[in-house]
Parts: sequence; C-alpha cells; structure tokens
Amino acid sequence: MAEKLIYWLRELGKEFNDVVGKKCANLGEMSKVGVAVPDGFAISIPFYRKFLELTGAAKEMESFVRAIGHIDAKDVESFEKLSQKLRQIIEEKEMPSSLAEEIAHYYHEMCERRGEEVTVSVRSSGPQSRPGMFDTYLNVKGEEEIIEKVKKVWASAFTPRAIAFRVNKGIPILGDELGVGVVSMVAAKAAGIAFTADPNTGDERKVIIEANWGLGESVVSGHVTPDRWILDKGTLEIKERYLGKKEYFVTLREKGVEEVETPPEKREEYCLSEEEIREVGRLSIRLERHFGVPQDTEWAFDSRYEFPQNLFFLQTRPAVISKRDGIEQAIDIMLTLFK
Amino acid sequence: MLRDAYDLSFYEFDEEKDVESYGVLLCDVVHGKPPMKPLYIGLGWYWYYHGTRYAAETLYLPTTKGWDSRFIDGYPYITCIRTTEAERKEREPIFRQKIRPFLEDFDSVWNPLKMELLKMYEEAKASRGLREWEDIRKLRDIDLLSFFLDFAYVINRKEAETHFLMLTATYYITGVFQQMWRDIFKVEPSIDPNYHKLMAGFENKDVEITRELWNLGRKAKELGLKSAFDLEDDEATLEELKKSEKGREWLSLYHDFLLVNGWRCERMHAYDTPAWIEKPSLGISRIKILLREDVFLFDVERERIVKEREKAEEETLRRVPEAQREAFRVMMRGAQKSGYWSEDHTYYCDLYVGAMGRWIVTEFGRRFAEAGVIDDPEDIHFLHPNEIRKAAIPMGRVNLRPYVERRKKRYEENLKIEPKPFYGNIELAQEILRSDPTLSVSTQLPIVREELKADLYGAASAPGVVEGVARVIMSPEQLKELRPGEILVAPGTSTQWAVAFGIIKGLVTDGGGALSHPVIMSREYGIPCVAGCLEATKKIKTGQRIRVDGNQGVVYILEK
Repeated sequence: MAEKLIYWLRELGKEFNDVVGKKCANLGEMSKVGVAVPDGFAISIPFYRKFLELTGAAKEMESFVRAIGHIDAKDVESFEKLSQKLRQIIEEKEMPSSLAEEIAHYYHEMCERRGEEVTVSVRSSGPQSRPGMFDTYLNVKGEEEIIEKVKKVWASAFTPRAIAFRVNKGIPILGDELGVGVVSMVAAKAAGIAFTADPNTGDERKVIIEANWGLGESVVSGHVTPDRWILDKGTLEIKERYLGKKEYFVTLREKGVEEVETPPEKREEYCLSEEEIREVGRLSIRLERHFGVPQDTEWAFDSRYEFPQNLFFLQTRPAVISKRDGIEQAIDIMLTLFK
Repeated sequence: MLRDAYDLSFYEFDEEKDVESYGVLLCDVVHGKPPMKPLYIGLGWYWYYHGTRYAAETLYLPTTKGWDSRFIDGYPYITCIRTTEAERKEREPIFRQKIRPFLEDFDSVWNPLKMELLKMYEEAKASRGLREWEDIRKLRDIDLLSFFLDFAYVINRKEAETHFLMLTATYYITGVFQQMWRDIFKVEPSIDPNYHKLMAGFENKDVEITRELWNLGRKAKELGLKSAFDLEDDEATLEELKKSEKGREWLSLYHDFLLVNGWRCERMHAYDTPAWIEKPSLGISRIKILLREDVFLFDVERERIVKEREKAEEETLRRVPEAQREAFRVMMRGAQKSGYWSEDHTYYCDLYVGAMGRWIVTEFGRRFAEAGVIDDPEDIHFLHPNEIRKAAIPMGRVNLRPYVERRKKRYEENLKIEPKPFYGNIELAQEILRSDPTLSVSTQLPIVREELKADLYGAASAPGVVEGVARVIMSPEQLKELRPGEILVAPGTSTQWAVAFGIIKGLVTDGGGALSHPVIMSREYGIPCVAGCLEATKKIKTGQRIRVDGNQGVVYILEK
C-alpha cells in the first residue's frame, strides 16, 4: 500500500501536528483521553503536496511567485494579484482520481457507520495556529462537494490577508500548507464554550460555561447574550447562573446554516440541564488536566443521541486570560472571600 | 432580662434577644482578660467599637457594618453587624475603589496618618504647656476638664478611627492572601514555615524602641554603672544612679528616651497600669534583661532573615500559576506590610493614646480623692466618663463613693469568674468571622489536628522547632524571673514583653493569631512560637521540658 495520506481522527494525537495540522491532531488527542469528538477524518499535508505535484500546480505556483520577485510589505496590489492567481491555480485543478477515490473511500465508510449520507464540516487545519485566517465550510454533503470545499480550504491559504500576514512575518509566500478536517456535523440542540478559569480574573477555582440553542457559532461570535453558569472546579457545584436573552440561534439549512430568532418561551428557558452543564465541566477539566493549562473548549449536544453519548467536543485550546491588573484580581478574590 | 454592665447602658446582655439577632457572641479573650473596668469600657472601648463601625462604613465593607458588643461579668463579647444582600451589592463597587490605595502603596496611606496622630498628641501637650508627667498638676480644674473632653471626643476618637481603618484594611489583605495560600499550596499558612519566611525581616517601631533600650544598657556599661543594674530592685537601681555624676548623666539620657518613648502602659487602654514616663523603673527592668545579651539579636539575625525572605519570595512566586501570579504578588506585598503595620501601629495608636488617657484620668482620681469624694485615686476606674465630666466642676461637691463601691464589688466578683468562650450557637462562629475578618483580632481558635497527638494546638505559629525548659510568666513584671535559653509560656505578649525576645529560645501563648504580637516578634527574632493555644499557661508548669514545634503549630509536654 502506498503512503498513508488520510487518517481517522481517532488514530491521531498531538505528535501528528505537522502531518495533519493542529486542529485535527488536537481532536485526535482529545479522543485519546476519553473526550468524545465527532466522527471524521483528516486529509494530511502530504496529501496536499501530492495534489500539487500530480496536477502540476506546484510548478505553476512556484514559477509565478518567482516571476513576481520581491514584493514590498505594503504593496496591496501585488497581494491581490498573487492571491487571485494562486487560488485560481488550486481551485481550477481537477482532483487526481487516485486522491479523489481516497477521500470517497473514507467518506463512504463514515456514511456506512451512520447508515445515511453524512453532512460534514470541512475545516482548515494548519500546523501553526492562525485563528480565523483560513476557511471552514459547514453543512457539506456528498463527495463531490467535499472535494470542491477541500480545494477551497487549501486556496484560503492564499487570500490577500494570509499572504500579507506571511510577508510581514518573513514566512515564504507558499509557506502555509494546510491539512483539512472532514468532520461529521453535530445536529446541535444546544452548544457553547467552556473556560476552565475565569478569563477576567484568572481565578482557576472556577469553570465558566456559556451556551445557546443550536450550533455554537452564535456563542463563539459573541453576537448573542448566552446562558451562563459558573461552576466550582473542585465540586462541579453550580455557584451562579445567569439566564441569557439568546436573541437568535444558528441552525442547519439544507446547505449551510442560518440565523433564526429565538421564540420567547425558548429565551426564558435555560438551554442546558444541570446534568449537561456538569458533564461539560467535568470533561473540560479533564482536558485541562491533560494539557496542563486552563482550556477554552467548544462543544455541542447532538439532538439525535441520548445523554451522555450526545456530547461532542469540537475544539480545545489554552484559555486566554485577560491581563487585568493584579490589584483588580486581588479585589475580586477579596469579594468572594468575605460573605 | 438584661445583665448589668456596671450601669453602662446598651452594653447589658440579653441572652434571648441578643442571641436571636446575632446568632453567636464570642468572648474577646485577647483584650478582655482580666475583666474590664467601667472607665475602660466607657472610654477606650467605646471608641474602639466606634472605630470598627467607622472603618466598615468608610471602606464600604460589603459584608459588615462593624462590631457589636455586650458585656457579661465585665468580659467583652463581640459579634458582627452583618449587611443584607441588597446592601452588599450596593457597597461592593465603592469598596473596590476604597481598598485600592492600600494595595497600590500601603506606606503612602499609613505614613501620613501616623505622622498626623503624633502631631495631634504633641500639640495637645504643647498647647497646654505640658511636657513632663507631673506638669498636668498645674492645670486648673476647667483646663483639665477641657483636656479630658478633647481627649475623649477628638484625640481618642481620631486615634480609634485611624487605628481601625488601617486594621480593617490589613485584615482584609491578610485574609485574602492566606486564602490564596491555602488554595494554591493546600496548607494552612499560619503554620507554614514558608509563609513565615515571607513575612519576616521588616523593622517596626517596637524593634526600634527595644534597640534603643539595648543601647541604653550598653551606655550604662560604658559609663561603669553595671553594678547599679545588678541590684534586684528597680527603684533601688534608680536611687543608686542618682548618687553619682555618671549615673545622673545616664539618667538624663534615659529621661530623654522616656519623653519620646515612655508614653506606654502595661495594659494599653485600661488606664489602670502606670506609664513608663510616670514610673521610670518599668523601663529599668527591661534594660536589665537586655543587659544579659551581648548582641542585639534582631540586628544579628536580620540579614539572614531578609536573605531568606527574598529567596522564599522568588521560590514561592515560581510555584504560583502564571494566571494568578500578579494578584499573588500584589497580595503578598500587602500582607507583608500588614504584618509590619500590626507591630508598628501600637506605639502611634494604642500605647500613646492609652498613656495620655491614664495621665488625665489619674489626675482626676488624685483630685477627687484629695477633695474627699472617693477613697483612693485608683477608684477613678469605676466611674463612667460622663460622671467624671459632671463631677469635675464644681470639684468635690458630689460624693462618688456609692457609684464606685457598687461597681468595685462587682468587679472583684468578676475577677473570680472564668468567662464562657461564647454565647449562642458556636457553629455560626465561622460564618461571622467570614463576614468580618477583623473579629479574629480578638477571637483566634486553635487548629486541632488529632493525628499529631500534641498536648496543645495553636491558632498560629512562627517557624522552627525547639526543646527546652518552660517558664510560665503571667505578667511583664515577672519577666525578671526569666533565664536565658528558657521557653516562655505566657497568656500573650505585648510591647511590654518585647525585651524577652532577646533571651528566650521559644514561646508559647494562650492568645494570639497570625497577626498577633507573639507571632510577629518571634518571626523577627527567629524564635519558634506557637500562639493561641487557649490553655498553655494552665497546662504547662515552670520547669517542665517541652517541645515547641512552630512548623506544625503544636506543643508537646515531654515531662508530665
């Protein structure tokens, strides 16, 4: 058998970072410590290189970049021109049949497992973390569409913004090679994020959970007021709860997603039960223990399964704690101490 | 039914109603033993309770409006005036702003305040042409009365307000730092040697004064006066010194020292023990003790202690999770300053104002006795402040004996009573201490750990382990009995005991918590100490060998 170019997520771990990119390697690492992640596979960076090689795209791109020569970091026009051409080279190439078959093989196996045609998200996964820089496509169905979106994800490494970023950092123009995750969509009834420390104070005695109905995108984007809970990290006891307005929520359409206004009765109801809240907390803490620093996790409850099999984690990364001054943090602790 | 509190209204205890509204009232074992006399309650303690409320309202403490108190058999019982949930929410944002300066730069808050106090005391004397202790006799009755009123309503009040503003801030800071310590290191800070290393090596006014006394002792040796200090009796020493020119030279130096530092009584606010400036032999006994040591221990130990502290700071900060490190650093600086303040303030607050109070009230005592309305000048302590005010002019017209006799009789009965440690539900004690951490000034409870099988458990300690012979001493006058290398066992220590630290090997006390005199001074001198054992002076006998384990905060009696 030839070189392995695609991996199941559950086969991966953080040692695969340079092979499949950070996002996919991390999903594999999470599943290793018993935190469920959605079914899915990772298209490796060697797969991408093979694509460039077999289609001749590699040579075309290199000669084009060489022809342009040195570009100035402020030369926006050159970035535009480069971007247009490089993306076009990738997107116009037909996926070589050997590679297309490989993707189809993994996708079909996923569908068999589920017993239906699976909808997936197609996600960028580079070896370096570049939050929000590359594309992700939600609610994708069928191998043809998947292949099209995979090429789009690769091409998203060559947006003017991404090129400008690399030029400014002294990274080669062709320097960002992306792995791609093809991950089963969660039919989320509710989803959100968890912090295993208070991001405002750094107080590591707390777990903060925010959630809304539907997909997690509404919470991540910060455009709605989600429900919010504060848990004691030691006992998982819910110390504080705040009912959010949950102005709208995000749901799957036939293709892609849409924002729907939340009906009044759903606004007045917490979107998670206590049991669900504690399970999110428990697994987020497990991830913190495994990675050694407070984590910022994304997760969703799938409406098609029963608790607790319905909880899937989609991402985890070190929590960014805001740099409030030590005095403010100290006063925060003072206020929790004297009751 | 109300329990009599020497006819002082609002201090009478109502067992049913008070317990119902406050849950629990705790005996102030630190300040209240022996029981208080009426003048002490009506003057010094009135303003201290006011101080707790002033501080709570000025800082907008979210959870408390200060202390409330009742007297039972002359012993003070204290509790917390808790806020409602709505009040707490309202006060929190203002509290954030009010507490900030203490964390930003502690010294810039405390230094101007202490200078203001000192200036107020000095001006109160200078404006009346007073300098020496005896000068107060020159005042006319009306001027003595006006001095008394200024003292009661301006000087004592200002001192109490400043005192409790600082004390409250330091307790909040220390309380938070200790809680962070428990959370991060999973160990009780008051008995953790690392914690104590961090707090040591800050010179306070108490150390400064003790060093001056030590220097006076050196000077006496240089002048060839050692033999005068070999006399057992302190008054005899003074008489002996007066006889020679060198002796008089030394006495003049000592007098200069007393004019500045002699405003101190054995029992800070009680007014019933003499001040050093009033009775210079009190200082002589301290100098005699310090003469036994060839070096001033604090200065010898200091460099080592400061080095250890700096090393401990670095190591501790490294062990703190990065997200909490900045807050930890801020609180650590604050807690260090709080420990230092705890000993620094006694001179500027309790001691000076207590001695001034004694100066004024004992002069009234002398005049009342001379006018024949009381039998003994010291009977003044059984009157209320407003009775002194009313009886001062015209002097000698009102017979004060009936008031004195009744209360004196009660006091003598009270002396024989062992106070109950609390009234009400003791399980609420932790809740109340959580609402008002300053209550722990007066009510430290021992941390009992059965697994250590110790004879005594402390509420706080200074690090180190030592074995030796115990010497039980109940009051500073007895300190002469102390021999170098012994372990001192005492009800508690205060500034009056400071001289002992240079010669003892270890210390065990009945009272005291993490910010108490015995713990802080022991730390500065590098001596193991276990404080807050409640019954150390009862369980340990002079001559017994004991082991003081300051690392664990426990005491073992080795020979029973």
